[in-house]
Amino acid sequence: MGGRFTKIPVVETETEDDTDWSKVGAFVQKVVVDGVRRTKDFVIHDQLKDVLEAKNFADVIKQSIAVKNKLEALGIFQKVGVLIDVSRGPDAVEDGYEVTFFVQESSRIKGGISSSFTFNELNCVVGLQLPNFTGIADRVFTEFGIGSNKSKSFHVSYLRPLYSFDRAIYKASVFQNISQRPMAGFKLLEQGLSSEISASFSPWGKQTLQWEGTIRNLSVLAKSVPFDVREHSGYTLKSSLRHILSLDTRNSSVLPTNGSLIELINEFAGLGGNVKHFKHELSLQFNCPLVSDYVLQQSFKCGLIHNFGKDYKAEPCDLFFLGGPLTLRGFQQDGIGPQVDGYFLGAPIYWASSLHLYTPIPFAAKSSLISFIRPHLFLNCGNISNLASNDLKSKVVDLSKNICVSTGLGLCLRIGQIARLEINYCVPLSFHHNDATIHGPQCGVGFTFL
Amino acid sequence: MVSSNVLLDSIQIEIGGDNEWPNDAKLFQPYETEQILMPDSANCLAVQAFLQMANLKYETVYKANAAEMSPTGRVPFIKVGQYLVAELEPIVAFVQNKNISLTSNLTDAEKSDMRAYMSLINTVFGNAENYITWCDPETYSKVTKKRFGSIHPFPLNHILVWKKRSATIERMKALGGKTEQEAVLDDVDLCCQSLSDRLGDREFFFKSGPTELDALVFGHIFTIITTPLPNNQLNGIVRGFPNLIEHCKRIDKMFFKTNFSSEWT
Repeated sequence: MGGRFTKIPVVETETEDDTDWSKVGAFVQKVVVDGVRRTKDFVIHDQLKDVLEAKNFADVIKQSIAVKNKLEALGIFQKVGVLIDVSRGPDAVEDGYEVTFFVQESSRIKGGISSSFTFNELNCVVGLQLPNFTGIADRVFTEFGIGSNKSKSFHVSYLRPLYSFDRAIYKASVFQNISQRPMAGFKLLEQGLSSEISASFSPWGKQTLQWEGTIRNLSVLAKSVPFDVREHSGYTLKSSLRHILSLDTRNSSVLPTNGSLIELINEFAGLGGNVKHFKHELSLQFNCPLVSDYVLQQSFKCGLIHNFGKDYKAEPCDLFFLGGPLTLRGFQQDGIGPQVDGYFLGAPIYWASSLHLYTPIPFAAKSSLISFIRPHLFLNCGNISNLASNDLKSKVVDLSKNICVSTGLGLCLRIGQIARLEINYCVPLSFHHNDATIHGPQCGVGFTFL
Repeated sequence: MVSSNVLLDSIQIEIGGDNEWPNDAKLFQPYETEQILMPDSANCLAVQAFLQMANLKYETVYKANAAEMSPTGRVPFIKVGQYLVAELEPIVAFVQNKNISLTSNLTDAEKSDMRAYMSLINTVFGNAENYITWCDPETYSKVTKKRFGSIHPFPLNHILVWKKRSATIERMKALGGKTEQEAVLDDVDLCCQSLSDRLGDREFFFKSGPTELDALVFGHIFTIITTPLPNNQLNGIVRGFPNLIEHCKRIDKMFFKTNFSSEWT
């Protein structure tokens, strides 16, 4: 057999002769991990177990690949290589193999500058990371971001795998955000702590349980901002418990051609603090590939806030806003719904839905471009309601009246793996009397879209 | 959007004067019994006294976040129709725009005299009240912390009172205010002396009747002599000027007899 450096994933398991490798008896007698400097032993041991259970040669190779992938997934090695060899030396046994993993640990400190997108604005982010901080595949990372829309964000986070609980990850953060909602007339400063555990349970998707304690200071942007917003100025303390269920089978989160997304976020605020609500948000997306690169995409989103506590009125920053170049196209960002003096107040319940038809690029010879850029036709609809009634049924009835509808066509561009840019020509078909509509071209960038 | 708002703001201030004083004017201030601190209390009372003297109808609205709601971050502020105006002097100017004034009979010399006294009071009493509230260790720990924090949940109460304290001390220093107890109290003594001399045995500071100066003096003196504090040296100094105390009682009786007379002890 001889020593063979298997450059994975090109593994010669299917050779010309008809040897069935799964019938060739083999077991792993020795595993060597070469290149470990500061990573703790138990972190590596934990990943190696599977390879020792191999009972034939095909298994040995399969498990070695699996372990290699696991080691890479820890994110603490720059390179991982595998060498499978017959056992040598005085203890060598027939059918015994020796598997060596060559690893190169990443440097102690990493830095970078990147751009990202949130709430329809461009952010420049400077980041610093300490990978494998204490040698248990944990990391400390910090990011400072400045946005085109006067937003600023900063956070320091610590993230570590929980070895006692399979595939669970613990994360703790300290953060500060400054953001603006010009259409609603307020600015928000948030400073807080968060702590979360997330784990994947197939087939139930990824589950995250999060606690967040935030001090928030809301201030108005101008003297003309209506009193309904102004009376919420000042500090509030929100302490909330959030559960996020995310089941994502899409092949891309930005321009998917296949798969679906189900995400349900439930939040309970009121563990101490003076913000008291239940908040529920549901997002659904289904992608259906049609003939010759046409993709039909349907999305639906809805959200509901239910306040409790005597005389408690929801803060504007907790409410939902609707409209924008990536959600309900043909309307300005946050430009739908109840308003006073030209400012939009937000509301405790909303829904929005969209139907997209993504088409191939006409006249383009290379179809590989379509993973970066796609023309689309869209139809959006949705509504938002601030009906004071506490009765859910009457709220739903209210949401089904005077639905906002818009349609149009445009281009979607994928930026990195997370953000997308859209340039559309929009035609609002139905809207409320005072909504901020855009009839014509509209451009936007963001993480989330409808 | 923002630039048009700035324009709108200035237009609103311009045309604010054309309208009559409406019936739904509101005065916003912090809660009197559990929250308000001495410097804010003095300013709120001064504005209330001024509005009473000018015989303007208003409704007092108590809001825990009145300071944050205020366009300048200071209390009190009034809401008249669409317009928000904070603090005594801007409120006096706003009211004057509606052709209501307590000083129309004063000569120019008297007016500038009045302004000088008001500025003196704001500086000296303001600094002294801030000193007692935020720098006197006993008052700070026994009164200020409790009252300021009363409206916020734990641990926000501790964080915000600490932030407010550093901001206030910072501002006192920036304004050149004194931060040694003796110097602060000496200034108050001097200020009271000159006010007492100016008042003499008249009813008000000017012959023509009550003015915003009377309102401001009333606000501060009343607050100082009716607020129970562990450190009552300020109270002691002010009580050494009987004509100022009489002036204060007179205004209370004339303009607040229903609201405040019970607080005299």
